[in-house]
Amino acid sequence: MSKQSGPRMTLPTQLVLRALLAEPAQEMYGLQICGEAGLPSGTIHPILARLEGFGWLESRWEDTDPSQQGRPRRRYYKLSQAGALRARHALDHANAPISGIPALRSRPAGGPA
Amino acid sequence: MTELVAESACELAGNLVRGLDGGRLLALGLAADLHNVHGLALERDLGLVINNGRALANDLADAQDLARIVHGDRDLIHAIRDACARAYVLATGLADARDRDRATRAVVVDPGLTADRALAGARAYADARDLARRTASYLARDLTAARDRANGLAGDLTVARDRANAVSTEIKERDDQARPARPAVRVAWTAAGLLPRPDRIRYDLEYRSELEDMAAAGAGRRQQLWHAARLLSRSPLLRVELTGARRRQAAQ
Repeated sequence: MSKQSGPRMTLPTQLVLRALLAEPAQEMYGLQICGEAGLPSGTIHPILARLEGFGWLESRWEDTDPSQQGRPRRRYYKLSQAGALRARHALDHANAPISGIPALRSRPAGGPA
Repeated sequence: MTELVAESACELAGNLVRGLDGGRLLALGLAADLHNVHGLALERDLGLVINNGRALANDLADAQDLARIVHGDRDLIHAIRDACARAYVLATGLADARDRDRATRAVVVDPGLTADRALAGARAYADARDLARRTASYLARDLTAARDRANGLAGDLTVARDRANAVSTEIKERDDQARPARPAVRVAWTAAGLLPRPDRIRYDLEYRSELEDMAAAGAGRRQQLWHAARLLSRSPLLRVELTGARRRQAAQ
């Protein structure tokens, strides 16, 4: 039924995409993306799932031994090549004048400094 | 683990101090008793002191090992080692004295005794008694020194134990702080449980990882709980997204 070729460009989605596009080659985990996007922690999983569902985003488990690290493995996200191109294009055509919007929240604990 | 070792070392050192003190008092009493000759009492008391000396030597050997593990202070380890060696020497010396005393009394009670042999036996017995008295005096003196050293050891081990306890408490507090709050973990688990079955484990692990990261970064219980609550509140939306993605994938 849905003829959508890409995800809805809500304001939080744009913030997430901008955070991911800042360094497209770098993988980021959920809390890190929250911090970079200025979104409250715990709010981005639907957005990430949407982007992943459209093939814009790739994710994988951190390649470490949790017993050695002393913490569970993180889930890392990265824009796919096609996703990065589409994201740039979508942001260019997005209606919301996102530049100048301050971060919605202060960075969550656990995110990057 | 370290504080357990320190605790047992401390306890052992305390026991040693008490044991050494008891041994010292026993040796002093024995030295005094040896002024009066009571063959049977000498035999019994010497046996007791010998046993105490051996037990003391064994305890000191244990203490030496523990001091090596717990403290690592060379002087302290050497002091215990010396006390241990001296305790073995004393135990052996007392055993010799007892043997001499036994031999002397065997001569004294010989029914076919001649006057010369009786005199020689009495002299040997008197010599043995003097030797035992002197040995007991030395024992008392050495045990006093050993007790003082053991007291020093007990003091050092008390400091080591207190330090180990303090370190252990610090580590526990740090671990507790770095561990996600249980209520937050439960809420996050519930949030993952609302998702489509194939996605539950993945998100449960991901939520846990986030809570661990938050806790490690110093986020308090309240902050973690808010995070988990937001995960829970977004679960229906996430469910819709995951279901939609799966449908799109199936349609392609």
